Amino acid sequence: MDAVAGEAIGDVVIAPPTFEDFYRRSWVEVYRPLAATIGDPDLAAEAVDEAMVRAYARWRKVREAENPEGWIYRVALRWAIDRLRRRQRERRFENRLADVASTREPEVEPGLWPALAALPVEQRAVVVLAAAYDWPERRIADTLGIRPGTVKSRLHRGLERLRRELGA
Amino acid sequence: MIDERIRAQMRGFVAGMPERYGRLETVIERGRRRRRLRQAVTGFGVVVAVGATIGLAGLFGLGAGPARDPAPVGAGRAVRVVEVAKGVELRVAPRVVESEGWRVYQALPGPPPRFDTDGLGQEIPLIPGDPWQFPRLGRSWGGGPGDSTSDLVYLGDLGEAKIALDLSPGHGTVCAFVEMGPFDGVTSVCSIAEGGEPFSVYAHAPPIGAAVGWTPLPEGTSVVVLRTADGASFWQRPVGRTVFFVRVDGACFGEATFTALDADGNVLDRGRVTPVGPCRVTP
Repeated sequence: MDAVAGEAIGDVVIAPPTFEDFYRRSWVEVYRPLAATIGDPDLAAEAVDEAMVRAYARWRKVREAENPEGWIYRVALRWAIDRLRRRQRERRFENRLADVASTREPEVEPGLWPALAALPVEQRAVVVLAAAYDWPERRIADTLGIRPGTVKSRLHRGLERLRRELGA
Repeated sequence: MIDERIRAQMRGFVAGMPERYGRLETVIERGRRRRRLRQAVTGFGVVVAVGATIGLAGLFGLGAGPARDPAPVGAGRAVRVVEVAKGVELRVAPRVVESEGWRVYQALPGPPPRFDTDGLGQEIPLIPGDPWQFPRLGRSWGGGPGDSTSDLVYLGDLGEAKIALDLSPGHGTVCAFVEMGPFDGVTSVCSIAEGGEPFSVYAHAPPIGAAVGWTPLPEGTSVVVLRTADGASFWQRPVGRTVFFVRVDGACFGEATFTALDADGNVLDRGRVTPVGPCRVTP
């Protein structure tokens, strides 16, 4: 028999991506915008891992989803928001953002962080993905599980409020 | 739309966000526990495996959601033929995975039903998976079900369990393998059945419990319906002429009947299993 380890013979069955591959590829891609959205790197990392645990438990379904990374992002974001509310951390958000920014990017205007923190988290998520990562509307909509029109309106309102807060 | 000042500020903000790293091993360990918990809650499942002589092993998956249509692996193209038991041949996909002296073949699903399956009960899908997993599992369990060099025909996944036919000479065995976790190793359950008749086993290998199956099914079997003594009805599409159903709730199947249907819903054969082992004394 002409069997060869790890190779297909004749008709080929393409192996679906393994969870491990997906994890290594996607973790940082989800973590970064999530951390910027919730303003807490440690909680964001915890949230992404929690979402990954859920993905592992139902990997067959998740891997066949149209946008597995979006699924992870949404689960992680909801989980993080729940945790923030439960721990009543929201009040510390501004300070944490300010700490993060001031230690790494001193040129960032101090007023940006309180303004960003004042946005509803749904608007904040859209603003972060669009303004910081230049994601197109369609990708943001797929990731957040909302319609492109909703992305547009949240971005519009979020930016409007940011400009007002920053006196732009 | 986004003015450059805000864009620059936002970029500066995310650039200042400290990096963190995930913990893959911990995630996988937690994911396995979570998956077992979900399965325990959802009840039991069924698996059928076909092969030649028999067998069976168990598995779960009730409530696993809508079935993914078994992939027509190699359908319509060249296939291999392997002898899964004396005088019983099985068509398999051309692809073969070989590792450390043993081979894994991918079984083919039966013909898809052309009739409405809505009234048959709950589907317990045996989902063709990735044969590459078997060499990996083989390393962790130290060999095939019969001996360290068993070749296997991989039938698919039933929930967390992987179902395969053992091709060791004379074995004619169907086995289910469940990877319990990085420290628990692999639980396997194999059963030798009398070829061509439904079989029932009670596996003393948690989380696999009572299991019933039928292998080899009549040629052309598209759907097998399982009806349990309590009136519940389940169905499965055979893979490798085998179906297999397993309970993971510790309960027994009791008496159960099987009906094999062709792609048009015509009855090809019927069978019945009676409780075995401790299931006999279950109230």
